[in-house]
This record gives sequence, structure tokens and C-alpha cells, in this order.
Amino acid sequence: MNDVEQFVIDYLRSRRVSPATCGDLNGESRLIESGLLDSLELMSLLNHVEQAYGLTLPDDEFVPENFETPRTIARMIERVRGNRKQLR
Amino acid sequence: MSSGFKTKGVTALPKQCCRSVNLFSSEAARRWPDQEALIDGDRALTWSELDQQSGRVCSTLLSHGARKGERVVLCARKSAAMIAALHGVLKAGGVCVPVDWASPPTRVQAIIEDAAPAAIVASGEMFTKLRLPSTTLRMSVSDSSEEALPWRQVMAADPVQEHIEVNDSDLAYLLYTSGSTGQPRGVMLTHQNVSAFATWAALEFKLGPCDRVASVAPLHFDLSTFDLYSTAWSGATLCIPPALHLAFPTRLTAWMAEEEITVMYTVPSLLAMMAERGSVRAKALAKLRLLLFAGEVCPPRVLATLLDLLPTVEFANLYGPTETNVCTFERIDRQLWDRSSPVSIGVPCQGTRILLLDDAEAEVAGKHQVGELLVSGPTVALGYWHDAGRSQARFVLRNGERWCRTGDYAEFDDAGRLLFHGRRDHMVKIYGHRVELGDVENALLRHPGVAEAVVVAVNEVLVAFARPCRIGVSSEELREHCAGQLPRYMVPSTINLIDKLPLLSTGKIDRLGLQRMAT
Repeated sequence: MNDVEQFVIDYLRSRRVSPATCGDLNGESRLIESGLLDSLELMSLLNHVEQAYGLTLPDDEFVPENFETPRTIARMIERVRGNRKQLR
Repeated sequence: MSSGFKTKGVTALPKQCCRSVNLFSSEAARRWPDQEALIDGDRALTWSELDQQSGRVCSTLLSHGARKGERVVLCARKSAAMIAALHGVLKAGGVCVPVDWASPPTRVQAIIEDAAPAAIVASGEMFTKLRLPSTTLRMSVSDSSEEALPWRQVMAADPVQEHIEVNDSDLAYLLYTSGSTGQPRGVMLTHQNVSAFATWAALEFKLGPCDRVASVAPLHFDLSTFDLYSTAWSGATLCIPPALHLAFPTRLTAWMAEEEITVMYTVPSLLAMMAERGSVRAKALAKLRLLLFAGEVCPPRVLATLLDLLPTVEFANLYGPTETNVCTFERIDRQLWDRSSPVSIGVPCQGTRILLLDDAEAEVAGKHQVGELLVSGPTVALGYWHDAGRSQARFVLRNGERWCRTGDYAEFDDAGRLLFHGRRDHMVKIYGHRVELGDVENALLRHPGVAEAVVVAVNEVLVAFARPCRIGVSSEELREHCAGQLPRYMVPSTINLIDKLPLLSTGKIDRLGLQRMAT
């Protein structure tokens, strides 16, 4: 598990919105199917990620596929960070 | 009739507007039988099909002995079946009690115990979480269910062509809102209440059979009465987006384009998501003609962005608490609005009267004087379910008329339009949902490790301060405890543990001080 993935998991654990699903949260936990992420939680996660990594996620990255698990979220963050570096 | 800036709004609604709302779907089926009534994923229902399905729900209720005026709790994701169920309950003379299916079971249970329903319509799994009296009729919107009558069996019942006669003043809905005592409170809406709003909105915004209305408000939210009954009254089509789209604004706008949505009524927080992350393009949303919003103050930045992105769409701000439904409205004038101050809440709807009361309970006579907003008219609710005391405090007689004290403060501007000033009590709006801070505080106090708790709202975020009464209580634990008791939007984002709550010289808790600490 890499740092970005751990960052996402730590954040979700700190929110503790759903006691049932938080206990064994790992990189492959289904976040949307389980109801752990709803629209409000998604927006706060998004703002948290953007602030922590100093980036702005393009609208086309904000799709359900990217938020399925902590791992897909981490991949998206890394992808957006990579693209930004390339642009420099 | 008063003049000047006193009581506003006098014109009565046309008589046909005040018909009982249980006639709406049958009337639509008679006038537009083959017109699409409902789109839910790849399912489409015509008005005649929807009417027939609601007739089957009605006949199931009646054959199980449900009587006029009895409550029916509806607690499942929005779907074609749920819409048919709502119309069916009304046909049977029943009272719809839509409940947030995503709420913790303890809260759903509390509402059920308060409403004492004769029947419940829910998803199969919901029945395993609830304790119900054996006499309660259980209908599952799933096709297979061990705990309840499966939907295919409900849909096999003979459709009832007749409906139970109701009066304008009979109950149609109980809508539960956050209550300051920690118990959800049921607002009683009559057939006239729902019908008066739905027909006013349909007439005012010229809804017709060509309109396709996006249904984004949850069914337990009063905004949904527009979606269901304004469409039925005007033969428009109601389109239900996949639930996931509401969390992903680009998906929502793509769906709106695909479904050729013409009208949407929603809360400003959803508009903000669309404005900021929705990739809104006027060309894709070419059919969209009207965006209505209500529930909270729309940030000017959000509205200005959308006005630019959608130059041909009309926007209107609707105002009114659940107790009065929409009572004033403002069509946004692109030329006149300064784009930096919140838009006015406008003028009274047809048939509604407004007055402002100052602190001495006298009617505010001049412009730019702030007073509590009182509402009278056909949309004003009957009162609170099983709470005569609170009903008497909120619904008052004045000059021989019945008025609802909204608890909201406002002033008239130079043009006689109302400017909204917010509240002076402990009710706040979080993403359009009403939240009594006391409701959240009570949930915290139910934890055995909490001695005192105060909750404040900062920019739509709830921040709690709790004084623990034993060692080892963590804020994570308290958050988890709240999540088990409250709907998600009511769970504080931050819970600060504090040794001593700051007090004012009067001995009262210094809420403003805490608010500053939270900012």
C-alpha cells in the first residue's frame, strides 16, 4: 500500500461516518457500493484531497469509477499529479 | 386589505387549484393516457399505466382494511414503484409519510412509533431492521421478500378505479423535520396544502405535457411535492436520475442532456456542485428552460456562474419552510440583480399573504424594517402531529386569520420585495436540510460519556463541543455514536472535546464565542 492510498484510508477512518464498514477498511474496500461515500462525504473528501495535495481535480476525473475504492482514488490523485508535472 | 408595505399578497387562487391532490394522477390518466408520466432508468410508464399501478396499491391497502386518514410510511429509494405507491396511498384516503431510507434505523423507528402507520412500503432489507406491530401491513418494493408482501403481488391486485373521497382539509402528508427536543417532528399537510402549491407552481411556471422534470429532491423533502403533483396536474414527465448521479455532477448534467430535461427544482448545494464541477454547457442542456431553487440561501457566486453558463435558462428563488411550503418567490432578473448580494425571496405567491412582526409583535409598517415573517394562505400546514402545544405557538390567529410564524426574519426593500435575514433561534440549514442544533446536541448527550454538548454551524458545517464526564471518551467514538442516531447531514464534521464550555455573564453558554472558536 502506498502513501497516497494510506492517506485516503486515514481520512475515511477519521470521518467514521459508518461504523459498520470502517473497521476493516483497506485499499480494496468498496466505498460507493457500501454507502460509505455519499454525495456530502464525496465533496468533503474531494476538498480534503485538493487541499492536501495542492491540486484541482478536472471535472472529468470526478466520476464514480475513480471513487470505487481507496486504491482507485489514490491512482487518480497520482495521475492528476503526474499530468501536472508533465505540464511544467 | 392593508396598503403600503403592510400585508402583501391578496389575489386568490383559481378555484380549480384547490382540488384534492388524490385526483391528480387519475385526472392525468384521463387527459393524457399515453403521454409518458415517469422515466426511471430504462423503465417508462404512461399516465394510464401509473394510474393503474397506483390503483393496485390503493386496492391492496383497502383490502387489508386500511382506512381513511391512516398513515402509510414509505421508506425506500425513489423509484417508479415508490411514486406509484405515493399516488396509491392518497387514492386510498391515506396519509403519506415518506421517510429518509438512508437514516439510521433508530431514527426511522422513532418516526414510525410517532406516526403509528397502518402500513409500510419499504425495501425488503429495511423490514429486518425495524420492530413493527404484527398488525402493520408490510409491502416490499422488491419482488421477493420474506418479511413483506412482495411488489409483484401488490401489482397483481385488481386496480381500483374509484378513490376514497377526501376533503380539502383531510391530511395528505406527514413530513418529518428535525425537532429541537431531539425527536423528529411531523408537519401535517392537507390535500389543499399540497394541491395549492403544486397547481400554483404549475401555472406560474407554465408546466405542460412537453415538460420533462428532473426529480432530484428526496421524497421526504417538501420540494418533491412539485416533482410529483405539479407534473401530474400538467401532464409533464417526471424523470428520476440514477441515485449515484446526484453525487457526481458531470454525470448529472450528462443525464439531464440525454433525458432532455426542461425543468429542475433543487437546493442551492446541488446547484453549487453543478456550477463548480458539473461541466455545464448550454449547448448540451439546450432543452433546459427553468431552474427553481429553495431550501437555503443560494451563494451569489454560484448563481452568477450558472446565469453565465446557461444564458437562456430562467432561474427562480422559492422561499418557504415545510410548514408553509413555498409562500414567496422571485424570478431572477439578469439585468437588475447586482450579482454580489443574495437574491431577494421576492413577493408572495398567488393566494398567499405575508406580514412582518417586530419585536413588540406589531406589524412592520415601513420598508427596511426587519420583522418575523408570518404567512397565511392555502399552503399553510394544519400543525404538528401529536403536538398541540407547539402547533399553538407556531400557528396563530391574528385579525381573524390563521398565520404561521416562520421564525425567519425579513424586510421589504424599496420595490416591496422581501429580503431574507435568517433566523434568531437554533435552526440551521445544512445542504438544504433543516437541522435543529438541539437535535444534534441531544444525540451527543445520549452518549454515556458526555456531560454537556453544544453544536454550532459554520458555513454549512456542523461543529460540536462536548464536555466528557469520564476519561477515555474520544471524538471518533462520539462521531460514530452520532452516525448511529442521526441522518448523515446532521452528524457533526468535527467534535471538539472541551474541559469547560465558555459562559456569558448571564450564565448562558457563549454560543457566539464557540462559533468564533470553530471558524
